Amino acid sequence: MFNKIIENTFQIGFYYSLWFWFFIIESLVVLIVIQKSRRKVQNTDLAFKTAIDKTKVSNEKENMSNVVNSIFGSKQLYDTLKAKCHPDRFQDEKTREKANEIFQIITENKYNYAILQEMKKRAFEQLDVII
Amino acid sequence: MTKCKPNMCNFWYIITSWFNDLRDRRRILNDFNTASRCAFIEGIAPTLLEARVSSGDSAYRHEYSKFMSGGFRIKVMSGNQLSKSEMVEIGQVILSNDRLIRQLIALGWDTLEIHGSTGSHGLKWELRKFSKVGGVLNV
Repeated sequence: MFNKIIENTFQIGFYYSLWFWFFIIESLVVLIVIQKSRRKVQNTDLAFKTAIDKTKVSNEKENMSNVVNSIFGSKQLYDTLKAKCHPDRFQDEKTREKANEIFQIITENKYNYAILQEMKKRAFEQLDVII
Repeated sequence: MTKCKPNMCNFWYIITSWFNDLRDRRRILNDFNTASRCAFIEGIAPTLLEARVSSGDSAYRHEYSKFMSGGFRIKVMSGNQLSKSEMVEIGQVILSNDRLIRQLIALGWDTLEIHGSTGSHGLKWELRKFSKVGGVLNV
């Protein structure tokens, strides 16, 4: 098939061949499209900004391992942290304030395993609570 | 008012953005599946989760919904039918993650579905309700 096409092109003459003109037109179209897209990005600020935003969105990766860990581990960790870090358990005012702050973050991020793990560390450091 | 004319650049932009969206959608599904697989292998997760694309609910459609692929379905390989509370728990974890929900909406998903490995029953939520989108713009 391909050999026949080549033979035909040489028999007819290269400049009269359909494939030659097809190649020329196609390459011209590609060049015009590339140039237009370049001009568009250079000239219009809005397009440039949206392009940057889009790349930001596509680069921002959601931590899926945290999502999966949250599905299975967040409830258990939340229950233990809620019980151990409750402000009413602490007598000293300073530690109670810290416990209150930690407790608020815990209740706000009930389903976020990574933040709950951080609060577990913070509770150990600031409140001397071993979980 | 200016009239929008269809030109070659718009056409080219539509094609490239369509491919980019497709790539991002695929990446989210792959990330979720690999993370759940790793958690299952390491013993953190007792069951294997799998994210898939489904047709979704037509009643939940929004402006960015993809045609016939608006459902983000999480299938739980539990071996038996999940109870409603278990499904709600899984759904709540995902719905509480604002960033993930916004990302899903931007990429054309409109429905979150949780299904067990057996049985045809599952739960579904409208993603737009949980995205906190629709406030007044501060101009």
